[in-house]
Amino acid sequence: MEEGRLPTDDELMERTSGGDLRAFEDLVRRHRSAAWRLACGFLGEARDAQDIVQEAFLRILEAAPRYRPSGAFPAYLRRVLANLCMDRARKMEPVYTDAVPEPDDPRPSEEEAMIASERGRRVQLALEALPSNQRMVVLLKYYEGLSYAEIAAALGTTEKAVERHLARARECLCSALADL
Amino acid sequence: MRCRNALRFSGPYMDGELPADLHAEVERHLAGCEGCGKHLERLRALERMILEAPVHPFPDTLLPGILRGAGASLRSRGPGRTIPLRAARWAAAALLVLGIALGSLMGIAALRVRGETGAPPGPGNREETVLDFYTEAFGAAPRGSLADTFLDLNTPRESGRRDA
Repeated sequence: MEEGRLPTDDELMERTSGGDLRAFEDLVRRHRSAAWRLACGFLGEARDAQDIVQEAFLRILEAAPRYRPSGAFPAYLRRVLANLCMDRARKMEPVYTDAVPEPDDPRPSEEEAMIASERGRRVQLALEALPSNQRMVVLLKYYEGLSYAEIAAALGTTEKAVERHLARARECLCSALADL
Repeated sequence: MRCRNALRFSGPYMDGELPADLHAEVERHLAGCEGCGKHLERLRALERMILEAPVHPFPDTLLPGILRGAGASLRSRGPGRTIPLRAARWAAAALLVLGIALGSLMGIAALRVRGETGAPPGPGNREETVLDFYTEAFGAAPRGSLADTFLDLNTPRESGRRDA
Protein backbone atom coordinates (compact mmCIF):
# COMPACT_ATOMS: atom_id res chain seq x y z
CA MET A 1 0.00 0.00 0.00
CA GLU A 2 1.28 3.48 -0.84
CA GLU A 3 2.09 5.90 1.95
CA GLY A 4 -0.82 8.16 2.91
CA ARG A 5 -3.35 6.39 0.73
CA LEU A 6 -6.40 4.93 2.38
CA PRO A 7 -6.59 1.18 1.92
CA THR A 8 -9.25 0.00 -0.49
CA ASP A 9 -12.11 -2.19 0.65
CA ASP A 10 -10.45 -5.15 -1.03
CA GLU A 11 -7.19 -4.54 0.81
CA LEU A 12 -9.07 -4.32 4.09
CA MET A 13 -10.90 -7.54 3.28
CA GLU A 14 -7.63 -9.28 2.54
CA ARG A 15 -6.18 -8.15 5.87
CA THR A 16 -9.42 -9.14 7.58
CA SER A 17 -9.15 -12.61 6.12
CA GLY A 18 -5.74 -12.87 7.79
CA GLY A 19 -7.33 -12.13 11.16
CA ASP A 20 -6.63 -8.37 11.29
CA LEU A 21 -9.44 -7.07 13.48
CA ARG A 22 -8.35 -3.45 13.00
CA ALA A 23 -8.84 -3.76 9.23
CA PHE A 24 -12.27 -5.21 9.84
CA GLU A 25 -13.14 -2.31 12.12
CA ASP A 26 -12.10 0.16 9.41
CA LEU A 27 -14.32 -1.66 6.96
CA VAL A 28 -17.28 -1.54 9.33
CA ARG A 29 -16.76 2.15 10.09
CA ARG A 30 -16.62 2.90 6.38
CA HIS A 31 -19.88 1.17 5.49
CA ARG A 32 -21.94 1.10 8.67
CA SER A 33 -24.03 4.18 7.88
CA ALA A 34 -25.21 2.91 4.51
CA ALA A 35 -25.87 -0.51 6.01
CA TRP A 36 -27.76 0.99 8.90
CA ARG A 37 -29.94 3.17 6.70
CA LEU A 38 -30.88 0.30 4.43
CA ALA A 39 -31.64 -2.13 7.26
CA CYS A 40 -33.49 0.47 9.28
CA GLY A 41 -35.49 1.67 6.30
CA PHE A 42 -36.44 -1.88 5.47
CA LEU A 43 -37.23 -3.24 8.92
CA GLY A 44 -38.47 -0.07 10.58
CA GLU A 45 -37.46 -1.20 14.06
CA ALA A 46 -34.05 -0.09 15.28
CA ARG A 47 -33.54 -3.26 17.31
CA ASP A 48 -34.17 -5.52 14.31
CA ALA A 49 -31.97 -3.35 12.12
CA GLN A 50 -29.15 -3.56 14.66
CA ASP A 51 -29.35 -7.36 14.70
CA ILE A 52 -29.31 -7.55 10.94
CA VAL A 53 -26.43 -5.11 10.41
CA GLN A 54 -24.40 -6.92 13.04
CA GLU A 55 -25.12 -10.28 11.48
CA ALA A 56 -24.28 -9.00 8.00
CA PHE A 57 -20.84 -7.77 9.03
CA LEU A 58 -20.10 -10.95 10.97
CA ARG A 59 -21.08 -13.06 7.97
CA ILE A 60 -18.75 -11.00 5.86
CA LEU A 61 -15.98 -11.60 8.38
CA GLU A 62 -16.64 -15.34 8.28
CA ALA A 63 -16.58 -15.34 4.48
CA ALA A 64 -13.52 -13.07 4.20
CA PRO A 65 -11.09 -15.91 3.32
CA ARG A 66 -13.33 -16.76 0.35
CA TYR A 67 -13.86 -13.15 -0.77
CA ARG A 68 -12.72 -12.42 -4.31
CA PRO A 69 -11.27 -8.92 -4.65
CA SER A 70 -13.34 -7.24 -7.34
CA GLY A 71 -13.56 -3.63 -6.22
CA ALA A 72 -17.24 -4.14 -5.52
CA PHE A 73 -17.37 -4.54 -1.77
CA PRO A 74 -20.39 -2.21 -1.33
CA ALA A 75 -22.38 -4.35 -3.76
CA TYR A 76 -21.31 -7.46 -1.85
CA LEU A 77 -22.38 -5.91 1.44
CA ARG A 78 -25.73 -4.87 -0.05
CA ARG A 79 -26.31 -8.39 -1.29
CA VAL A 80 -25.62 -9.90 2.12
CA LEU A 81 -27.72 -7.26 3.84
CA ALA A 82 -30.61 -7.55 1.41
CA ASN A 83 -30.72 -11.33 1.81
CA LEU A 84 -30.73 -11.06 5.59
CA CYS A 85 -33.45 -8.40 5.54
CA MET A 86 -35.63 -10.43 3.20
CA ASP A 87 -35.13 -13.56 5.31
CA ARG A 88 -36.09 -11.61 8.42
CA ALA A 89 -39.17 -10.20 6.69
CA ARG A 90 -40.25 -13.70 5.70
CA LYS A 91 -39.91 -14.93 9.26
CA MET A 92 -41.56 -11.95 10.90
CA GLU A 93 -45.17 -12.43 11.81
CA PRO A 94 -47.40 -9.45 11.27
CA VAL A 95 -48.26 -7.58 14.45
CA TYR A 96 -51.61 -5.82 14.44
CA THR A 97 -51.80 -2.96 16.86
CA ASP A 98 -53.70 0.25 17.26
CA ALA A 99 -50.85 1.90 19.07
CA VAL A 100 -49.18 4.65 17.11
CA PRO A 101 -45.40 4.46 17.45
CA GLU A 102 -43.83 7.48 19.07
CA PRO A 103 -41.43 9.50 16.99
CA ASP A 104 -37.77 9.31 18.07
CA ASP A 105 -37.38 12.87 19.21
CA PRO A 106 -40.79 14.49 19.51
CA ARG A 107 -40.79 18.24 19.84
CA PRO A 108 -44.49 19.07 20.19
CA SER A 109 -43.85 22.73 20.56
CA GLU A 110 -42.65 23.07 17.01
CA GLU A 111 -45.42 22.57 14.53
CA GLU A 112 -43.10 22.11 11.59
CA ALA A 113 -41.19 19.36 13.29
CA MET A 114 -44.43 17.62 14.14
CA ILE A 115 -45.61 17.74 10.56
CA ALA A 116 -42.27 16.43 9.32
CA SER A 117 -42.33 13.71 11.93
CA GLU A 118 -45.88 12.74 11.05
CA ARG A 119 -44.99 12.66 7.40
CA GLY A 120 -41.92 10.53 8.10
CA ARG A 121 -44.00 8.13 10.13
CA ARG A 122 -46.56 7.86 7.34
CA VAL A 123 -43.85 7.23 4.79
CA GLN A 124 -42.31 4.55 6.99
CA LEU A 125 -45.66 2.85 7.49
CA ALA A 126 -46.38 2.98 3.77
CA LEU A 127 -43.00 1.41 3.08
CA GLU A 128 -43.61 -1.30 5.65
CA ALA A 129 -46.92 -2.12 4.02
CA LEU A 130 -45.17 -3.01 0.75
CA PRO A 131 -44.23 -6.61 -0.02
CA SER A 132 -40.62 -7.15 1.04
CA ASN A 133 -39.17 -7.44 -2.48
CA GLN A 134 -40.84 -4.17 -3.56
CA ARG A 135 -39.69 -2.44 -0.39
CA MET A 136 -36.10 -3.53 -0.90
CA VAL A 137 -36.13 -2.35 -4.51
CA VAL A 138 -37.46 1.06 -3.44
CA LEU A 139 -34.80 1.46 -0.76
CA LEU A 140 -31.96 0.37 -3.01
CA LYS A 141 -33.21 2.80 -5.64
CA TYR A 142 -33.75 5.83 -3.40
CA TYR A 143 -31.26 5.36 -0.56
CA GLU A 144 -28.44 3.88 -2.55
CA GLY A 145 -29.20 5.45 -5.93
CA LEU A 146 -28.56 2.19 -7.74
CA SER A 147 -29.39 1.46 -11.36
CA TYR A 148 -31.86 -1.27 -12.23
CA ALA A 149 -28.94 -3.52 -13.20
CA GLU A 150 -27.22 -2.99 -9.86
CA ILE A 151 -30.42 -3.66 -7.93
CA ALA A 152 -31.01 -6.79 -9.98
CA ALA A 153 -27.49 -7.96 -9.15
CA ALA A 154 -27.98 -7.26 -5.45
CA LEU A 155 -31.22 -9.20 -5.32
CA GLY A 156 -30.37 -11.92 -7.78
CA THR A 157 -33.16 -11.03 -10.17
CA THR A 158 -33.64 -9.41 -13.58
CA GLU A 159 -33.78 -5.74 -14.56
CA LYS A 160 -37.30 -6.26 -15.87
CA ALA A 161 -38.38 -7.62 -12.49
CA VAL A 162 -36.81 -4.61 -10.78
CA GLU A 163 -38.66 -2.25 -13.10
CA ARG A 164 -41.91 -4.07 -12.41
CA HIS A 165 -41.44 -4.07 -8.62
CA LEU A 166 -40.52 -0.41 -8.63
CA ALA A 167 -43.53 0.55 -10.73
CA ARG A 168 -45.92 -1.34 -8.43
CA ALA A 169 -44.29 0.04 -5.30
CA ARG A 170 -44.52 3.59 -6.60
CA GLU A 171 -48.15 3.09 -7.44
CA CYS A 172 -48.92 1.83 -3.91
CA LEU A 173 -46.88 4.55 -2.23
CA CYS A 174 -48.40 7.35 -4.30
CA SER A 175 -51.83 6.07 -3.44
CA ALA A 176 -51.07 5.66 0.30
CA LEU A 177 -49.43 9.07 0.58
CA ALA A 178 -51.68 10.98 -1.79
CA ASP A 179 -52.90 13.36 0.92
CA LEU A 180 -49.43 14.46 2.02
CA MET B 1 -46.73 8.56 -27.83
CA ARG B 2 -49.99 7.88 -25.99
CA CYS B 3 -50.55 8.77 -22.33
CA ARG B 4 -50.74 5.09 -21.39
CA ASN B 5 -47.20 4.48 -22.62
CA ALA B 6 -45.93 7.74 -21.22
CA LEU B 7 -47.24 6.78 -17.76
CA ARG B 8 -45.71 3.35 -18.10
CA PHE B 9 -42.32 4.79 -18.97
CA SER B 10 -42.41 7.71 -16.54
CA GLY B 11 -40.65 5.78 -13.76
CA PRO B 12 -37.76 4.49 -15.90
CA TYR B 13 -37.66 7.95 -17.51
CA MET B 14 -37.16 9.58 -14.12
CA ASP B 15 -34.56 6.95 -13.19
CA GLY B 16 -32.61 7.53 -16.42
CA GLU B 17 -33.10 3.93 -17.49
CA LEU B 18 -34.59 4.49 -20.94
CA PRO B 19 -32.68 4.36 -24.23
CA ALA B 20 -31.97 7.85 -25.58
CA ASP B 21 -34.61 7.80 -28.31
CA LEU B 22 -37.37 6.60 -25.99
CA HIS B 23 -36.27 9.06 -23.32
CA ALA B 24 -36.61 11.92 -25.81
CA GLU B 25 -40.02 10.67 -26.91
CA VAL B 26 -41.33 10.52 -23.32
CA GLU B 27 -39.88 13.93 -22.63
CA ARG B 28 -41.70 15.43 -25.60
CA HIS B 29 -44.98 13.89 -24.45
CA LEU B 30 -44.56 15.06 -20.86
CA ALA B 31 -43.84 18.60 -21.99
CA GLY B 32 -47.15 18.76 -23.80
CA CYS B 33 -49.43 16.70 -21.54
CA GLU B 34 -50.61 18.19 -18.29
CA GLY B 35 -51.93 14.94 -16.80
CA CYS B 36 -48.74 12.96 -17.43
CA GLY B 37 -46.67 15.91 -16.24
CA LYS B 38 -48.57 15.84 -12.94
CA HIS B 39 -47.96 12.13 -12.61
CA LEU B 40 -44.24 12.67 -13.01
CA GLU B 41 -44.38 15.44 -10.41
CA ARG B 42 -46.06 13.03 -7.97
CA LEU B 43 -43.25 10.52 -8.51
CA ARG B 44 -40.68 13.21 -7.79
CA ALA B 45 -42.55 14.28 -4.64
CA LEU B 46 -42.61 10.66 -3.51
CA GLU B 47 -38.84 10.44 -3.94
CA ARG B 48 -38.39 13.58 -1.83
CA MET B 49 -40.65 12.21 0.91
CA ILE B 50 -38.77 8.93 1.09
CA LEU B 51 -35.40 10.64 1.20
CA GLU B 52 -36.53 13.12 3.84
CA ALA B 53 -38.17 10.55 6.09
CA PRO B 54 -36.16 10.38 9.31
CA VAL B 55 -34.20 7.23 10.03
CA HIS B 56 -33.48 6.02 13.54
CA PRO B 57 -30.19 7.46 14.75
CA PHE B 58 -27.19 5.21 14.44
CA PRO B 59 -26.98 3.34 17.75
CA ASP B 60 -23.78 3.74 19.77
CA THR B 61 -23.88 0.09 20.70
CA LEU B 62 -23.73 -1.19 17.13
CA LEU B 63 -20.01 -0.91 16.43
CA PRO B 64 -18.86 -2.34 19.80
CA GLY B 65 -21.36 -5.16 19.32
CA ILE B 66 -20.00 -6.01 15.89
CA LEU B 67 -16.40 -5.88 17.09
CA ARG B 68 -17.16 -8.06 20.10
CA GLY B 69 -18.74 -10.64 17.83
CA ALA B 70 -15.82 -10.36 15.40
CA GLY B 71 -13.27 -10.92 18.15
CA ALA B 72 -15.13 -14.00 19.34
CA SER B 73 -15.43 -15.28 15.77
CA LEU B 74 -11.72 -14.85 15.07
CA ARG B 75 -10.78 -16.55 18.33
CA SER B 76 -13.01 -19.51 17.57
CA ARG B 77 -11.55 -19.88 14.11
CA GLY B 78 -8.21 -21.10 15.26
CA PRO B 79 -4.99 -20.68 13.30
CA GLY B 80 -5.89 -23.18 10.60
CA ARG B 81 -8.72 -21.11 9.17
CA THR B 82 -7.04 -17.76 8.90
CA ILE B 83 -5.08 -18.44 5.72
CA PRO B 84 -5.68 -15.54 3.36
CA LEU B 85 -7.11 -16.38 -0.04
CA ARG B 86 -4.04 -15.15 -1.88
CA ALA B 87 -1.72 -17.33 0.21
CA ALA B 88 -4.00 -20.29 -0.37
CA ARG B 89 -3.87 -19.68 -4.11
CA TRP B 90 -0.08 -19.54 -4.11
CA ALA B 91 0.05 -22.73 -2.10
CA ALA B 92 -2.30 -24.43 -4.56
CA ALA B 93 -0.16 -23.24 -7.51
CA ALA B 94 3.02 -24.47 -5.84
CA LEU B 95 1.42 -27.86 -5.21
CA LEU B 96 0.36 -28.05 -8.84
CA VAL B 97 3.88 -27.26 -10.09
CA LEU B 98 5.33 -29.79 -7.67
CA GLY B 99 2.83 -32.37 -8.88
CA ILE B 100 3.73 -31.76 -12.51
CA ALA B 101 7.45 -31.96 -11.71
CA LEU B 102 7.02 -35.22 -9.82
CA GLY B 103 4.81 -36.59 -12.58
CA SER B 104 7.46 -35.76 -15.17
CA LEU B 105 10.15 -37.38 -13.07
CA MET B 106 8.12 -40.51 -12.66
CA GLY B 107 7.40 -40.49 -16.40
CA ILE B 108 11.08 -40.33 -17.18
CA ALA B 109 11.82 -42.97 -14.59
CA ALA B 110 9.23 -45.23 -16.10
CA LEU B 111 11.07 -45.31 -19.41
CA ARG B 112 12.64 -48.63 -19.94
CA VAL B 113 16.37 -48.83 -20.49
CA ARG B 114 17.90 -49.43 -23.84
CA GLY B 115 16.66 -52.60 -25.52
CA GLU B 116 13.47 -53.07 -23.59
CA THR B 117 11.26 -50.85 -25.72
CA GLY B 118 12.82 -51.72 -29.01
CA ALA B 119 13.52 -48.12 -29.93
CA PRO B 120 16.68 -47.81 -31.98
CA PRO B 121 19.57 -46.34 -30.05
CA GLY B 122 21.24 -43.27 -31.33
CA PRO B 123 21.58 -39.55 -30.84
CA GLY B 124 18.21 -37.83 -30.53
CA ASN B 125 16.55 -40.89 -29.16
CA ARG B 126 14.90 -39.93 -25.89
CA GLU B 127 16.03 -43.02 -24.03
CA GLU B 128 19.57 -42.48 -25.20
CA THR B 129 19.47 -38.94 -23.90
CA VAL B 130 18.16 -40.09 -20.54
CA LEU B 131 20.73 -42.82 -20.33
CA ASP B 132 23.53 -40.50 -21.35
CA PHE B 133 22.45 -38.12 -18.67
CA TYR B 134 22.32 -40.94 -16.13
CA THR B 135 25.70 -42.34 -17.12
CA GLU B 136 27.27 -38.91 -16.98
CA ALA B 137 25.74 -38.18 -13.61
CA PHE B 138 26.35 -41.51 -11.90
CA GLY B 139 29.26 -42.95 -13.81
CA ALA B 140 27.55 -46.16 -14.98
CA ALA B 141 24.54 -47.30 -16.94
CA PRO B 142 21.63 -48.49 -14.81
CA ARG B 143 20.54 -52.08 -14.58
CA GLY B 144 16.89 -52.86 -15.25
CA SER B 145 14.47 -50.02 -15.71
CA LEU B 146 15.08 -46.41 -14.80
CA ALA B 147 12.20 -46.71 -12.37
CA ASP B 148 14.02 -49.53 -10.59
CA THR B 149 17.14 -47.43 -10.60
CA PHE B 150 15.26 -44.48 -9.16
CA LEU B 151 14.06 -46.66 -6.33
CA ASP B 152 17.56 -48.05 -5.95
CA LEU B 153 18.98 -44.58 -5.50
CA ASN B 154 16.69 -44.00 -2.57
CA THR B 155 17.68 -47.25 -0.87
CA PRO B 156 20.80 -47.11 1.35
CA ARG B 157 23.46 -49.60 0.30
CA GLU B 158 26.98 -50.50 1.30
CA SER B 159 28.91 -49.34 -1.73
CA GLY B 160 26.95 -46.97 -3.88
CA ARG B 161 27.02 -46.84 -7.60
CA ARG B 162 26.16 -43.22 -7.00
CA ASP B 163 29.70 -42.64 -5.86
CA ALA B 164 31.22 -44.50 -8.75
